[in-house]
Amino acid sequence: MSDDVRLSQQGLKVLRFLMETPREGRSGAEMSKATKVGSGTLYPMLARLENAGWLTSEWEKIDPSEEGRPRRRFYRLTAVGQNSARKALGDLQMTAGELVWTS
Amino acid sequence: MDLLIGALLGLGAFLIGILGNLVASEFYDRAPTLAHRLVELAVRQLSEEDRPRYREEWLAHINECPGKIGMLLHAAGCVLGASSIARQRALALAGSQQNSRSNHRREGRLLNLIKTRMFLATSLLILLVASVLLYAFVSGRVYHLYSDEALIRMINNAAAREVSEGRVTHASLNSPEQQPLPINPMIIRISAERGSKKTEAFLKFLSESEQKN
Repeated sequence: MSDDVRLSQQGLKVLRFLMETPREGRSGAEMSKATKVGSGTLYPMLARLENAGWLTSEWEKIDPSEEGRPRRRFYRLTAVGQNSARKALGDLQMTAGELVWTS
Repeated sequence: MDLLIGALLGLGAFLIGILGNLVASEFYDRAPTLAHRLVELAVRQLSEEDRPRYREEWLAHINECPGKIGMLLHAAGCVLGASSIARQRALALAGSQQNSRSNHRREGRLLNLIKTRMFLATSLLILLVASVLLYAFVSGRVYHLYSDEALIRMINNAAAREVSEGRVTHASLNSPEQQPLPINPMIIRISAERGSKKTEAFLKFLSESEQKN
């Protein structure tokens, strides 16, 4: 695990989205829909953040055979991730869906 | 003639339009299948242990995509992202193996350090016990021989105290101006009973040194 995670603007968008409900797990599809980050960027980013210990993930608690669909995987910020995300987002403010540096 | 060419061009355009529409329609109908195949292609880029997880996760994502084009875009993204995930996992694995190797090295060093410390502690304990036994059982005076440096230090700085505590016979060498005795520096400390060959040799050596000085 490492705290040395480089975050792109899209990474910050995802973190901000997860920070809205830090205790609630979010699926990749939800994140992609809310942040407009494509799967090609989103999943490698999630894997990186998970490796770094910022995120934890767990399967949706359903029986796929009963539901007739595959389980979703929910991502949630860890305590380390919340602190790091807060720090990373500290200097930023969101305006009209765009990230702007305040300093 | 021109009319004929125009009619043929029009017919060609019409046919191409119909064909294109058919292809697009077919493509659109098959988009979910194509998306599933692309996801499978993406999954194959991953390591064996990661495949089941991402297969299920990405297929679940397909179900939530808005529209068939969305499915295809998601699947194409998975293909692009899979190599990045595979690379990350490989790097993480290489890192953990390196960490494991360095941990082994660290443990080895720690073990060596502990062994060395234990050896030193045991040696000191043995020396202490030997010294106590020596003091307890040796009758008569005990002579201490020090290395040159220790002797000089003793003479210059703490002669009286060390002499009184250690019963050192070469206390007679109490002048700070004394030259260091040519005692073998390898001999740090020996003890002997009065009357033994060692003691006599040492006393002889001391008196000769005093006479020279």
